[in-house]
Amino acid sequence: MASDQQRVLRPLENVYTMTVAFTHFSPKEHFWPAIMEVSDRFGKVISRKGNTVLSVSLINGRFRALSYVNDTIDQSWERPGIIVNIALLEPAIAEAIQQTQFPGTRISLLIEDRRCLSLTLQLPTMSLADLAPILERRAQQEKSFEGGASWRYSLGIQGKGKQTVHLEIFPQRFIDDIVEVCDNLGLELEQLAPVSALAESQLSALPIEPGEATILISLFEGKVSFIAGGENGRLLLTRHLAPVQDWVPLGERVGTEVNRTIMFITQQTNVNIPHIWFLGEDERLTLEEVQPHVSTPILPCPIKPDWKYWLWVGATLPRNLSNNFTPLEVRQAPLKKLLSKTLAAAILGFLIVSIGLTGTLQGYVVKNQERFQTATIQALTLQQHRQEWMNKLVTVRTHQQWVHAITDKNFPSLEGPLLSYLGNVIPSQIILHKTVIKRTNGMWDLELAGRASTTLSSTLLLLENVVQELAQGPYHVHVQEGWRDHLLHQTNVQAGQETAQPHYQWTLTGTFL
Amino acid sequence: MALSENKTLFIAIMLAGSLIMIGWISLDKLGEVFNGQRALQTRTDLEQEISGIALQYRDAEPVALQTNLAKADQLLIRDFTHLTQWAQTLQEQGERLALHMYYQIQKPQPASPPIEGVTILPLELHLTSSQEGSGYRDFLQFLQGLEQSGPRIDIQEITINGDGIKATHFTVGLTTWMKAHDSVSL
Repeated sequence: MASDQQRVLRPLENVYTMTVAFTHFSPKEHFWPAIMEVSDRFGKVISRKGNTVLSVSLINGRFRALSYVNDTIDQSWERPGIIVNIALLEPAIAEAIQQTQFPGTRISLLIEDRRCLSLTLQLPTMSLADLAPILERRAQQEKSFEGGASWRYSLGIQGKGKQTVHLEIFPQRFIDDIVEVCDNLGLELEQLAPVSALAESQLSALPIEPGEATILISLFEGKVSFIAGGENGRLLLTRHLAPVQDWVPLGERVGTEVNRTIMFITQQTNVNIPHIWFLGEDERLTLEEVQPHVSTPILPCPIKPDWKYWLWVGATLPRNLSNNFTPLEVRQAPLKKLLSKTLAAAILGFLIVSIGLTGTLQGYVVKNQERFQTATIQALTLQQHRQEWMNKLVTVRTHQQWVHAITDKNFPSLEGPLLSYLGNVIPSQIILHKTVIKRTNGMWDLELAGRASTTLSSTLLLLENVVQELAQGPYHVHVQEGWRDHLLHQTNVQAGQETAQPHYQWTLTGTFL
Repeated sequence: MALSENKTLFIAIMLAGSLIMIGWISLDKLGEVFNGQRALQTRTDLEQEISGIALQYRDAEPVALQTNLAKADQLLIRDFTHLTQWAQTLQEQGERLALHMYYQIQKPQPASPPIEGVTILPLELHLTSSQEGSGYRDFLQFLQGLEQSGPRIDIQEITINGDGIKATHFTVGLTTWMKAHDSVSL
């Protein structure tokens, strides 16, 4: 039994993670369920504890409770009699906690009440923004109670320009009373949903092939529901059998409604319904009573549910169920409380750390105060010493530069040895009149001027030798070109004159390399 | 409800006040610690820096520097009296070599940095040989004596003129360095 139940219920969270998209929430309201979902999962991972919920059903005044502790069914209790007034609910829950020895704080309430309505509407396809005011107006029209109405919806079949909308309507006052009861008992209201949510939750456990659909006939506490779903457990249609017409056998009525449901689905969509599942209580209705009226094969579910099973299912329903009527602020409360506690703990921790840090710093300062003061005074003295040393060093360096500038010669002495050398280089055949050695920009320039009385060719040869000697000698004098032209020009001049002996003025200018 | 809100506000104010006070005290103490650590670090840095400067000072050999300063000082013309004495010595030296010498002082110029307290004094020496033969060898000897005469000189130009048979006239352009305190504008 237990293994069958595990198998049937295992994929529940998947289908409701999907159907939450159809729930009418504002962007802000979308944010909080997501945060709470993450918070729940994170909390479970951190604490490594299972779900602990008191699952309660209140079906037409009949009160039943099941304690679900750490993902395990614990104790159950059924209250004798009928709760006819909301004022009796608080003592009933308190007694249930006592009877089941429930150790937790979370409660899941499944309601079946004459004031709570469930409608299936067919409306033109429209955006959710346009749909909301229509549903609001419809809820106000359909309600059978005084005061405000709270409503939840989910979308079903969509096709041929129409969409099926499942609308659940609860009295707002009824919800407020339940919230107050839970608050008085220190319980966190996690789930407040119609009983039909239980049967709808079983849809995801059924094997449905792509392109196919199925119908689940559910019988719980005498209420017959027809839950149609597509692949991946997507809810297509929910219908409930009205509790009238007792003169017609129940099996025949159920069969007729199944046929109508099949016709409607196949008319609206092109899906095939190869078989139908039956999940019911044998003492009220059996599969064999329905099958003769339906051509599609009806298969029995592998489990035989009782009220404890349904309460167990109720304990495991996800919070973000589309028809969970728990007010958002109530659902937020545990998380806000946790955040407040976390914040308070963080501030306290910060205070403690800050005080500890300040104390440590104070101790360190007191311990090292004398050392710091000494270091400060020494630093001042050392700065003076450094300045003194710098002054001394600068003075020494300046003096050194001065000494070097005076004692070091930038240019080598050249004049004395050069003149001696020139005395050897100048041949005796030519006469030297003038010798100039001049320093120009770090170089030495040389100018030799004189006269020769030899023939032109001899003079040229002699001067050529002098130039070569100067170039190759120890001083490497580069003699400027032009001295030959100067000499030849004189030859032309003298050619027109008749002199006994030729004489030539010559000049060599050059630079020491 | 109002009481609860006031209580929350009071707690928040107290909490904020406590945090501010703790933060202020912590910052003050942190400042003291940072200042102390900085003083310690500064002391260490200064000690290292002074050690480095002292090492450079020792490497500069301040004792030997005094000797070098004295040597450099001897290379400078002290004043115009000294200049005249030195020139007179050169004239006497020239006379011994049969070279008649006179000199001209050119416009002095201050030495370029980093040399301070020194004036560059250009001089032009004119020498004429009074003997019948060439005075060339005598002039070379004079030049040798000039370079060894004591003060620092930088020969800039040498001109030798002759009559085609012998060298008769010599000009030496040079600069010598004189202490600036006695320099005058010429």
